[in-house]
Amino acid sequence: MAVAGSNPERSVFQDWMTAITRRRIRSIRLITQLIMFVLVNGVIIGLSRVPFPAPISFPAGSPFGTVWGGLDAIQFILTRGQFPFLVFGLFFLTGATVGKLFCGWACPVGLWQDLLAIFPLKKTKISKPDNKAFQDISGFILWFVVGWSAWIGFQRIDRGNLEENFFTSIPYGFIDPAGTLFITLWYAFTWKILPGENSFDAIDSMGTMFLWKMGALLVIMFISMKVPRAYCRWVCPTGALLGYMSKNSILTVKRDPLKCTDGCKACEDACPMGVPITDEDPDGIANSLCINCGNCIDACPEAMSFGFRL
Amino acid sequence: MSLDTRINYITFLLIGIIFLLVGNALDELSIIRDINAFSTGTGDDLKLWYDFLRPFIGDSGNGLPPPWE
Ligand code: SF4
Ligand code: SF4
Ligand code: SF4
Repeated sequence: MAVAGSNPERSVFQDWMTAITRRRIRSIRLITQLIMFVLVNGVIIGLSRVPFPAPISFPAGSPFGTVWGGLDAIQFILTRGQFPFLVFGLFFLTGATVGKLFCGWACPVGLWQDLLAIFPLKKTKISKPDNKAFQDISGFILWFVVGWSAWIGFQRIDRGNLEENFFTSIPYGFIDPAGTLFITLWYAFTWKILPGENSFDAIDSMGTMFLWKMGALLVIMFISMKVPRAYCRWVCPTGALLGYMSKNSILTVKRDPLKCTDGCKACEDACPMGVPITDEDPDGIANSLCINCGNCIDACPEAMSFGFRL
Repeated sequence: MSLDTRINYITFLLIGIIFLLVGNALDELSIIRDINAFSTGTGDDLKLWYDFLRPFIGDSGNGLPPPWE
């Protein structure tokens, strides 16, 4: 029998089918991610808005958005001087049950980074200790943003009305790539570029905040091309919040030590988050980075599988 | 798997449910709905959207100019 790939009779379609069957979960996940992308931006296709927080990185009330990003909801409610019980409760329940499943399967910024990772740029290898150390950045950002928002909330109660701007509504909107992707860029196009203004003049007239946000977006894009899901791993505060619960989530990924031929590490190479899978408990990955994506299961279906920690 | 894992997720599940109920009792969703420009009843009026989304864009001094300019 001819070896697959060397047979000139094979069509592109057959090659695709082989690739898809070898990466079954990845294919299902990509389709799910695309469907979720359309659903969260569903106003384009005529869906109505549901003002409900979702545990994904998505701006609150974007022009096409059907749901609210959880982190933006937290900031908004805190800066209004209330504690966001409901949103935190939602994060706790999601994290404790399915972990960071939404990161792997639904988050539009996650999808965007998955697509960026395909870009043929030489990937940088990050050591396990570095990967873990950089992760602290996201936790720091999360608590800084929460603390800042709470402080604004107290100021608002104290002084009555505060001026509405970046820092008194959604402080993290300052660098949030979700906001830049799904709001700032969209408005730049509809208000400036589409009406026919010269692009350079348009960018010039949009001022420092626009340039700052675009700069932050470009930096994040470049790093995500060099390191898969770099923003998810080290920066995203939404992921950091879910990470506190997802470490011990009910849904997890298990490794059968009897079927694992030690040292091959194909699973770790396939992991977009750099989880040290072989160092983890075989009964379930207890790592706040894991997004339950299933890439490791595709890489080694014999030993790896989804499972529940009940 | 250790007992700690179970204690951990059961704790978060319980706190999560309590928080959901408290948030619901405090009518938190109405805050979310209030801040949403679309839900103020005036529809997709661009000025409303602009005011609402200003935190993402910057104000007219240093961000995108308002759409009606
Ligand atoms: S960690 Fe990544 S996938 Fe998860 S919410 Fe943040 S950007 Fe989205
Ligand atoms: S790819 Fe499979 S066999 Fe190799 S280290 Fe991972 S679990 Fe073990
Ligand atoms: S450990 Fe497996 S499921 Fe978790 S992020 Fe890595 S590849 Fe995905």
